[in-house]
Amino acid sequence: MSFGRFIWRNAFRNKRRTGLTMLSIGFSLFLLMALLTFMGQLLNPVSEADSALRLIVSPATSLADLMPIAYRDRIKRVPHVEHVTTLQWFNGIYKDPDYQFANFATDPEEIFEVYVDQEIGAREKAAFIAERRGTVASTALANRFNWKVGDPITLKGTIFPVDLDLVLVGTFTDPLSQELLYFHYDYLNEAMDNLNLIGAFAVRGSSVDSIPGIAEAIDSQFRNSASETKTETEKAFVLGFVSMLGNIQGIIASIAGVVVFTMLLVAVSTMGMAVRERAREVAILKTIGYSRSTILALVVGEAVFIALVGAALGVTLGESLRLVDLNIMTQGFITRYSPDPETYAAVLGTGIGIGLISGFFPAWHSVNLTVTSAMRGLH
Amino acid sequence: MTERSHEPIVQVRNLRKTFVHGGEDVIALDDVDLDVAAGEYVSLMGPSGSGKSTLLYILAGIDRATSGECWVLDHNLSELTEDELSEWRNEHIGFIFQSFNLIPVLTAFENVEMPLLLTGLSKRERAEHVRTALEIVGLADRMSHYPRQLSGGQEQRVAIARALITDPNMILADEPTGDLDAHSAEEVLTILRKLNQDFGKTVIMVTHDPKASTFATITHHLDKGKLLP
Ligand SMILES: Nc1ncnc2c1ncn2[C@@H]1O[C@H](COP(=O)(O)OP(=O)(O)OP(=O)(O)O)[C@@H](O)[C@H]1O
Ligand SMILES: [Mg+2]
Repeated sequence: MSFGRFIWRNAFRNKRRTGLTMLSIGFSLFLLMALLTFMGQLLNPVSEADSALRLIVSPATSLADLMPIAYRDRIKRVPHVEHVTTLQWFNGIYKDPDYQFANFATDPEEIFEVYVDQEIGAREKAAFIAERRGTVASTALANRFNWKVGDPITLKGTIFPVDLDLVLVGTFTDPLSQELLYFHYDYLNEAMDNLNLIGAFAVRGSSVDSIPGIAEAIDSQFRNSASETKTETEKAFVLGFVSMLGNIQGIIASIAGVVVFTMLLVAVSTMGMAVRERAREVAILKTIGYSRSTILALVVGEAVFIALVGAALGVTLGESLRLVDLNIMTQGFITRYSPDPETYAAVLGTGIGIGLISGFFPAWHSVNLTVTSAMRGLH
Repeated sequence: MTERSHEPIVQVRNLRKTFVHGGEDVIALDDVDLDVAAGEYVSLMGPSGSGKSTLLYILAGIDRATSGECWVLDHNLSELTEDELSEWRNEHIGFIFQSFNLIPVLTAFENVEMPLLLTGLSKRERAEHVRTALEIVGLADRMSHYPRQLSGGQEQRVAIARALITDPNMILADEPTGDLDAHSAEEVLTILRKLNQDFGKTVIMVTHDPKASTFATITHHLDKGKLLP
């Protein structure tokens, strides 16, 4: 017999109640874990260090507007700018509108210079540059549709009133395993009767320190022109996109708050029940010499133990998300389940907190009950 | 075996205990004086509500007097803090309730071992003590039984084993045979007498049963909170 064993015996005296408590804590913490992870991913979408070197130039007025393609050469001449590529969101439909994935018109020579963390073989890149109707897909996307080099891919225009007949000439890897398709801006522009407009440029600077200066230089160059620009870091740009979805952070935080609070109520009431039935036993422990603090520690220890088993369950459930393809299930909204250490710590901390709170109040009540009252059943 | 010494182990003077019940004071103990010499086997008798349990709880340091003095084993109990009282109980007092003495999720062995977890004894030493205590009460063969697998008499004997496990000076029992049939009661009383006679423990036992009090060396009577002369 040891205190640990004593806690164990007490925790499992009512196996069903304890099991259900563990399950409800487990599922709630799983939900919390998933919410925190996905919120982190939405708010911190580009984790690569490389991202810090990139800027996105878009029209100052609205993301839906377009700028003259001639800006490309003027941006290239800005000091510390190493590479510039067009990046036009095409939003084309492949076969079925439900088959959503990101597809962009871009500059084949430049795109992999700006996005050096997306890797493509030298021969495939050369083929992409050479073939006007050529297109390259990220491996995640190619795998999804089982595409092979040489496969024809037709994209039905949605924003642009043209359909593009493309042919797959290669694949590239994306560090976030996103589903992406790139094709020639020039091909789109031609199909659009040389409209010569573009939605965005992606720019690569020479160093992190030069990034703020570049942004300012680009924007001031086009200030007071017919189409002014807004240059932001890639992260700021993506976050701007996310913010269009509404106050996601607030919504997720309040859902998480409700989940934790509900779980706390469940834990407090079951621990309360469990401890109240033991008023006499607490009186006996006192009688044989257990101090109030020792008894308090034993009861709180039991509650923390139950909560920790629940937390372990929640984390394990979360890990099982690694086995499913979130990228497909969420249509690329969430690419993968990869909580950072802070998220694990937050969930574990919440579990311990729930144990402490749910154990403390009933324990406090029962140790303060006098032995006489407890033995007389006056609780 | 041990010679009965006559130094007082309990000295109670002008002890009063009142409870507030429904806004009114209930006098449970009224000006009680009591001396108990070491090695005595005291029987406390009296009608229901006369304050027997209350007195026993105060002597055990489980409850506190409203006024008056209560010296037990050279300690003025009203001067000890809660934590000091707990430690003191663990070391010097064995207490047996009328019923519900045992923790249902623990075996007889583990129930008896509980007070020893607070001491510095090793696991092996604890096991030896527990075995000896259960042998004394005649339950060495029931060590791994849970309380629900024991009869009422056996449960009380396990409670006695737990009460003597730390080798206390005093054993206090509140109607230990109140819920038992005559035969089991006799067994329990015999063990208490053995603890008193063979092991020199001072025993104070509350009882309603005149036959039980014949086991004692001295009987005191309480009535309406007053100790009768
Ligand atoms: N915790 C309490 N709250 C209120 N009144 C109490 C409390 N404990 C005891 N009393 C009162 O004190 C008086 C003495 O009670 P006590 O339990 O000491 O009597 P007793 O002699 O042990 O009776 P019994 O033989 O029925 O066990 C009774 O009137 C009882 O109602
Ligand atoms: Mg009583």
